[in-house]
Amino acid sequence: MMNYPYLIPLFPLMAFAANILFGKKLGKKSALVSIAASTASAALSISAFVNFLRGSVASVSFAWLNVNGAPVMFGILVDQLSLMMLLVVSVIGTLIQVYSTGYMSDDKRFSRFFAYMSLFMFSMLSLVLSNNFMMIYIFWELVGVCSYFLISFWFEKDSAANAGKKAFITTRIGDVGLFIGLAMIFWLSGSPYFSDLPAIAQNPDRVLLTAAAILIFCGAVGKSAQFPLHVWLPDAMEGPTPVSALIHAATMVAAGVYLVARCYPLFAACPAALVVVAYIGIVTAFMAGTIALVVNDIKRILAYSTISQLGYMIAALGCGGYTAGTFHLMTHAFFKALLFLGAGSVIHGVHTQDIRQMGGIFSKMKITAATFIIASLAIAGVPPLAGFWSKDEILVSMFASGNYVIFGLAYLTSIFTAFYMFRLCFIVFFGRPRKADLHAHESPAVMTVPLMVLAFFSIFIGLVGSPLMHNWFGHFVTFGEGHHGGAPAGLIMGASVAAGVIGIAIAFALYILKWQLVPQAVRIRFTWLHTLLINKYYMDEIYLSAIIRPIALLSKYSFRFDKNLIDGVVNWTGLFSLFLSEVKNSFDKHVVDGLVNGAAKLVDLCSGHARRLQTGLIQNYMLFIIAGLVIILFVNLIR
Amino acid sequence: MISITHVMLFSALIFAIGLYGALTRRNAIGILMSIELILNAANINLVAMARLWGDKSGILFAVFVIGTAAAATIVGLAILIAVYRNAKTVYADRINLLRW
Amino acid sequence: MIANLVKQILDLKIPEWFISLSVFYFILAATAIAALMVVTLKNVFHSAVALAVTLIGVAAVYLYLNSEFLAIMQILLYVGAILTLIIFAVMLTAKLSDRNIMQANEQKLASFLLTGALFAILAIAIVKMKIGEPAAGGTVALNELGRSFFTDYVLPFEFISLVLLAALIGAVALAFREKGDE
Repeated sequence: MMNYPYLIPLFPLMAFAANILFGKKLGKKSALVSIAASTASAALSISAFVNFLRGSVASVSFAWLNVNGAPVMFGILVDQLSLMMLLVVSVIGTLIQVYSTGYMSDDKRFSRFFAYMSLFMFSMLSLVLSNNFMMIYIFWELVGVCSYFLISFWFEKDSAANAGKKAFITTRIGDVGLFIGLAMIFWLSGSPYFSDLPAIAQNPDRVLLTAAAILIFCGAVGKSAQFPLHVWLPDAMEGPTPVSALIHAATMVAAGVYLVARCYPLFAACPAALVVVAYIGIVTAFMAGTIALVVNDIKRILAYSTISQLGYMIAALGCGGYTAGTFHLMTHAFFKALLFLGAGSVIHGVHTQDIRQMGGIFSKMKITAATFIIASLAIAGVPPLAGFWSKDEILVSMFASGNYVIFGLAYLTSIFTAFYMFRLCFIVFFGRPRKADLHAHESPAVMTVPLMVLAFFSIFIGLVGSPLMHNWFGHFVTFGEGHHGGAPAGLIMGASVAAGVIGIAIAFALYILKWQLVPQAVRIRFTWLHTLLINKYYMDEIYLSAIIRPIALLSKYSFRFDKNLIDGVVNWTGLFSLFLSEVKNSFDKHVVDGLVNGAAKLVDLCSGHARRLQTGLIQNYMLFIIAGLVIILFVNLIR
Repeated sequence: MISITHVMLFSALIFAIGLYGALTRRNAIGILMSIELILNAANINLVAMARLWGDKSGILFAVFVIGTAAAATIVGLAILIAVYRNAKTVYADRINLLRW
Repeated sequence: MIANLVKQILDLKIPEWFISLSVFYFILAATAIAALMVVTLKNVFHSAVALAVTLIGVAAVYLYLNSEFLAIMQILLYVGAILTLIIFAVMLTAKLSDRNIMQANEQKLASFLLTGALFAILAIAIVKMKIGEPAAGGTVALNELGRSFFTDYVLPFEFISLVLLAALIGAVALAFREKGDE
């Protein structure tokens, strides 16, 4: 069998080039180009996987940059983790692109969409194949920029354009941390390779090492939408639904989890960093889970669910559950992609995103509804679907780490998960239509076939990590963790099933049987809670008033300072002089006029000099650049 | 035998003169000419180093620099002529359509 | 008496290296002065001519550095092509007598001080380096250069040709006057 893993990302790159250059000529054929490329990538990923199991590893590397005489080699890293990610990204990516041909069929920038999708596939596949920090950073930014392009794909809508900007800027905040962290690692060790991480983790300077680990985690916080940088992901739902499925559910947002898993030797050596990771993860999972209970936009429910599940993975990694976190990453990718595609199919059918206007469309969209419910069962953790096995692994690892606060919150979150998913299912697919003119219709086969394939995966993919297959996944992707001793695995498994069933049962009681579970009095008393949740804990408002407003105010006031205060001084002095001149004689007038002119002249002089700094003349700016250069060179010279 | 140090000092001088021109000229063509001076200074340095080490790569790179300079000048002058046609000026500080 | 003196001077054996060296320093001085004229002269056309002198002077310096090939290239490309273009641009943008041709310099003092400081720093650094004598021989054969272009440096070579082509097309596209576009 062929074994050319380095070719995997190149096919989508070629597809991108073809679509961006000849998109207009290709028209609808551009979808075929992209799909063919990612199918080739998927095939190569599978062959790389098979070859890896047989024990043959192909690697390639070439010198890219010379740093201190040691060339930085660009190369690929094929190991268990990257193979898992490769398979997930290429298979899901291919299915979602097939689906997109149906979903985007009427769009006027059809080929541009597929060009971006291919660029994203290239960046994401390269990201998981990277063998050093510099490479991963480059592709990390590339997937970020693809996400920006695709969120604001319908840039005619202000909300989409703003959501794109918000996503890009918010993730950049984390990326700055990531960059500093990577630079620190490089500075500490002189080696940018992941293969040297165990050696780097032996560095005696624990404080710096922990700081570097936490800074790297900042990047993951931004990319994986963890608290407090999670605000961009719900807004990112402005993009086309296949984009939400591929980038903002299955792959790119999981890149943060992947990064933490990739740097796990480093985190494992810094217990303090792991604690930070665990708590950030669980806070995110819990917070997003609670918000998802009350949101009414179908895509936003799924977005908060994604944030919550990502928090789950991060928390699992923080609790030492390396296998559990990566396993959940894989299973989640399948069923969350399915959920988003199903939601897209529903939106395609009923042309609204508000679940309060939907209802009773099960009979009209049978395939969509059935696959959606399978995915919901999977995410709720009903055995033997995929989510059950991975969620159970996470709970076991949390329990085994002895951190019962985290375990408790995770358990609560898993009840919430089951509840909000089935609230969504029951409202959307059952009951009576809440809007009269809801002409729901099933989507074309090109959209339903990917749904069915993904449903198949959502049911069976979890088995690779189940006791039925002797926990094969756990032995494949592992970080030297033994079997979790001391954790009552059977009990937790039962409890985990119970959580899912409780959540579904509550949703059933509330939305199908319409039981008034909560008395009116209690409900009124807790209105504030609902308000708090529906406003997403006021995070956006906090950011707006704590960060964005002050900056805007600062710039406004510095503008006003020029405009009003300085002018005001002049005006005020002028008025004052007028007043004086009316009272006093002309001699006085002359003196005061002199003062006024003097004040005006002084202001003019000051502002004239200050204005010189912002002349808008390139040569003037260049002068200052040269001045800086001279100073730097001078300092270097006398040192 | 000529002194490489003197050649490099000469190159530094040409560079400084070119920089002075790039900073002070208002005529865009003048700025372009100053940039040619800067590029020439770099070339002199490259060739001097090639002579010093007896290595041919300096000369090769100087050739590439000349090529790049030619491309830059062509595009620069084309932009200049296009701008002149619209704005009727070649003063760099008068070409401020995008300013503020 | 005078005839005697002339005879004495003529008899004086001036060593060849001395002549060569004095010519070299003369060229350096002339080139530097021409370069100064490029950036200070009021008339753009005059500074273009000064630029020609500078470029030829630099070509002479290349000759002294044993790279005849580059000297030829300098004359051909710079003086032959780039300078011609510049002069064309000067003539296209302004009539020679126009006031546009005059160019005032701005922020002279600050620029002078800064570039002077930069030169001083560079000069100190260069002198501090204590560069030794150049390697003996040191002439790079032309065929060796040619071979390098088509073996080790073939990729940059192809790239530069691509860049030049792109610049050419770009220049045509930029300067092209569309019909009815006035």
